[in-house]
Amino acid sequence: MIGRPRAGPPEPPRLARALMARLLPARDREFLLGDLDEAFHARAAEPGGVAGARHWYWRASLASLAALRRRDRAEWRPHVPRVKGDSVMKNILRDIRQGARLLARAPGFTVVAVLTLALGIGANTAIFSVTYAILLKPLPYTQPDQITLINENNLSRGWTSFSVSPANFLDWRAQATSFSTLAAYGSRTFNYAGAGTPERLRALTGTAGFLEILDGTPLHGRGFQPDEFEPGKDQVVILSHAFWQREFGGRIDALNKAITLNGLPYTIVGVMHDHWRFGGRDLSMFVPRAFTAGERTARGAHFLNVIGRLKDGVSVDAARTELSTLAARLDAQYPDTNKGWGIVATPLLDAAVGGFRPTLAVLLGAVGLVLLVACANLANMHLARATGRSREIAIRAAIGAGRLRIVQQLLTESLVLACAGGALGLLLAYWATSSFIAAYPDLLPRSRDIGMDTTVLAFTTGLCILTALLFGLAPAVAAARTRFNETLKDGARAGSGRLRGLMRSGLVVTEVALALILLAGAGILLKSFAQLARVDPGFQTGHRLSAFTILPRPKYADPIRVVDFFERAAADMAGSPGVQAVALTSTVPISGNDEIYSIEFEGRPPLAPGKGVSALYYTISPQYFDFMGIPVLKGRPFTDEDRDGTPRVAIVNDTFVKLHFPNEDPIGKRIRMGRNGSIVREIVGVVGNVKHYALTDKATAQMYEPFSQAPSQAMSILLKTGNDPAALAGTVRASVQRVDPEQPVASVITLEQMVSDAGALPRVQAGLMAALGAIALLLAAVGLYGVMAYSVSQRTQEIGIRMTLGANRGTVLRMVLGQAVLLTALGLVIGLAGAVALGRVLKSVLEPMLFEVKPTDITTLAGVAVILSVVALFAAVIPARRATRVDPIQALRSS
Amino acid sequence: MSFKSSAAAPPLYLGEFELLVLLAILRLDGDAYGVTIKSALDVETSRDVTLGAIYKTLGRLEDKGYVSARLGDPTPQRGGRRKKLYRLDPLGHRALKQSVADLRRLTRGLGRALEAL
Repeated sequence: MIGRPRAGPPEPPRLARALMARLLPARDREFLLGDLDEAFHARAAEPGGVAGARHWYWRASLASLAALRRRDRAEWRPHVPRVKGDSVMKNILRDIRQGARLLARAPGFTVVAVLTLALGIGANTAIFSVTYAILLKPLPYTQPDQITLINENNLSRGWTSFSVSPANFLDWRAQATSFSTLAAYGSRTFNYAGAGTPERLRALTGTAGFLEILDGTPLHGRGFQPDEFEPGKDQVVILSHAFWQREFGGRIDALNKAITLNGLPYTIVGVMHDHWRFGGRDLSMFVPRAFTAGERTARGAHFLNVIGRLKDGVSVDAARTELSTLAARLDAQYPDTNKGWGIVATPLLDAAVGGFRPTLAVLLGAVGLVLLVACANLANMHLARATGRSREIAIRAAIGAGRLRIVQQLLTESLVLACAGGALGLLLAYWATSSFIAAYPDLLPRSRDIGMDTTVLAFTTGLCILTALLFGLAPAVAAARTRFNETLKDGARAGSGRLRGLMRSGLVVTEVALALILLAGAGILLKSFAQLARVDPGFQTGHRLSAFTILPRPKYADPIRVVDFFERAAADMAGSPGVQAVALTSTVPISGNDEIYSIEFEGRPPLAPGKGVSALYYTISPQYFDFMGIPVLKGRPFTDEDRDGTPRVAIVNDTFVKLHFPNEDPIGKRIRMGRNGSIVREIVGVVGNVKHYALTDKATAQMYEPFSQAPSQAMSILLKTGNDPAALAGTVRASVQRVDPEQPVASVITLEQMVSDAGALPRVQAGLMAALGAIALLLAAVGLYGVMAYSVSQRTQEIGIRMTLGANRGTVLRMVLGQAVLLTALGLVIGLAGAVALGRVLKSVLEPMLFEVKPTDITTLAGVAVILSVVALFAAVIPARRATRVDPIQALRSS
Repeated sequence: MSFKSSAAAPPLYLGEFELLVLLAILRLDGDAYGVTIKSALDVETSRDVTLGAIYKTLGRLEDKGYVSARLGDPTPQRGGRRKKLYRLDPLGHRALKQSVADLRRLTRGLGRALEAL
């Protein structure tokens, strides 16, 4: 508006006048507005002019408004001069100092309060830091939302996500327009001798563009060139930073040197960045993925992972639509191989961590409840303290503190307390998360991202403020509402004791209810875990060790050499001291690996495309069933006579028979299956079911072939001992190297450990929930104890009178306990209703976490209710007994 | 807080600011309204008062029956709004008289001591 000529006489600021016209009390509005205008015009005529007058108008009108709107204070209150510099900030600082002083003077209260808060805030910080790192933090790539994993699925066969066949991948890459890059990748292993003992290294192998999608630009050297993705030109390697440091001491001259992998020379063309992350910690190198001519046309063999980067502006949903059209086209074009196969696109973050969402959500809810219980406890302690402080507060009010000022001071004290608790909680959280990750390094995805960063600190700070408001506001307002005059006159007895008593009882009821909900959650998860621990995996795990070995192809291309290697190694191990039995298998149940092949039945019409059946597949040594304790239900196990050259045989499991031979004798039936699907095999035996993926598995069809008729280069050697199986790791390595000095042993693990690792997540879930439930139980007990103890101390006189009038100890005990029982019972009823309601609402979240337990399991609910009642009763008995020891004479005299 | 008194007429209390406002009205003799009261207080006292505070007090004095008001004519200076002109009522006179008498009594003989402040 500056410089624009103003027509007519100067006018007061229109906005200010409009505000005044709206906000001034009706009684004074017209006259005050007139006065303001008049004074404005007088000022506008003075030197300083219109601008000064407008400025004055704003100030005068707002100040007038404040003066009129302020509630009428009683005239008796002395005028407290506002000293210059007595700002809000200064008040706060003074309150903080004062709060800290007061808290230091009540160390018992302070210690209990800070510990309670530290538990509550610490638990929340810990779970939030994990949730944030896993679910919320963006993945460390450019525009991570564009990165998508693409799988096939076959819903008619119950496979929701399946590996991709090379020919399908090549068609997608050629036809899909939603992606700027599509690449296939996988993981492979190399035997590497280097300078020391041979070892097995894990490598990522990807087609052109794979590393680029994930920002994998090498730190030194170069990436792969287009022609290096062709067979024969693909013997180039990019080393991981760690492997480069370890093997080459970080020397640049490693570039362009050759290293020997699986007996073949590979040229080192680059070294990856230290901070680059994808696909696990144990990655040593990257090699190009070149498709052979046979692979390029393989449509039925599914073994690739596919990753893509969406084009700018293309959503995952749009890509899904395009991919489903593409799948339909391929289905029509290649019915033999593609019938029933669809394409699923999953954002990378979802694929990596989506499974953890329910667990983390439930844990976040649980720690939230713990914090609420802690807040209820704190509020309770504050109410009790405020009663003791009512005189102090009344005096403050009398010498001029407004109610707002008193609330502000009490809230600042709460904040000091919350911050102290928060600081301790942060330490607790740091300690808890880091020791958790140390104990379970592989349980959580993205565990390297978990830590106390600025976001977590901001969360904790916010939580401290929220907590302080939550537990401090109600007591502060209650304290400020006290009728101060009465308090001053009355002496030590509090003014609004009844209101506070009600508030405190309400808080205890809340605590009991929340604790019950938490305990119910913990109980249900514990029960689920206990059920899981009782599950029979179908095989024995004790005293058994598994060692995985994979033979390099060029050296062991001949199947005879493969059979020879494993048979000699097994024989060598069987002769070693301490070894009781040895067996071989291509896949160990629960190890996380699997092989699935389709089946054809001789003498039955071929199944329609897309209607094929398949089963889990193992190739094993004759000793395997005996070794694993898998019962042979019918027919015979494999023997040493089942060799190359003798009739081809197979063994299937109970579920296989139930599914495919429901009313027939399976023995003697002939099927085609396995690695070489053209060979017809005769079923010679039926064995018991084995849990393959997890203990929660439903029974699945399984089939076995003898190792000597279907050799595999990747086998696990199983050992049994009378002692600690882990001690046999050295024996395994020694035996393998006696057979082939260049051959490493990849992973050695006891079967017990393998099963225990598979059950780690449910165990940890149940353990965490149990710990949170225990904290809530403790806090609720402390809260109930506090209320009962306080109530007894307030009723000392009354109890004294009753006892003088003839009440005996039993009556008094019943009277006090009666109150506790009432509060507990109310809390239990509310808590049970809450637990049932929550169980219903969260059914879909909880059910995948639970094994053979309903979220609203009646016996569990009843059990935790009993536990809570017993603990509550104990908490109440102590003050109740104190009440019975009241000396009537003393009680009456003290008044 | 009740005050024991044997007199039939209740005692009349004035807050300090009420006293100042009543004195200003008395001085302004018929021309007492927001602006003039404010400038009287601005000139004669050490206070920087707002119009709002003055109206608040005037309202209270009016409620107590110490002052009464009549409406003046609208002027263009006031944006066409009327003035509210105040004058003392008998009760206000009495309260003022009483307060001033109290002050006089309390300050009697303190001439030198007050000057030394």
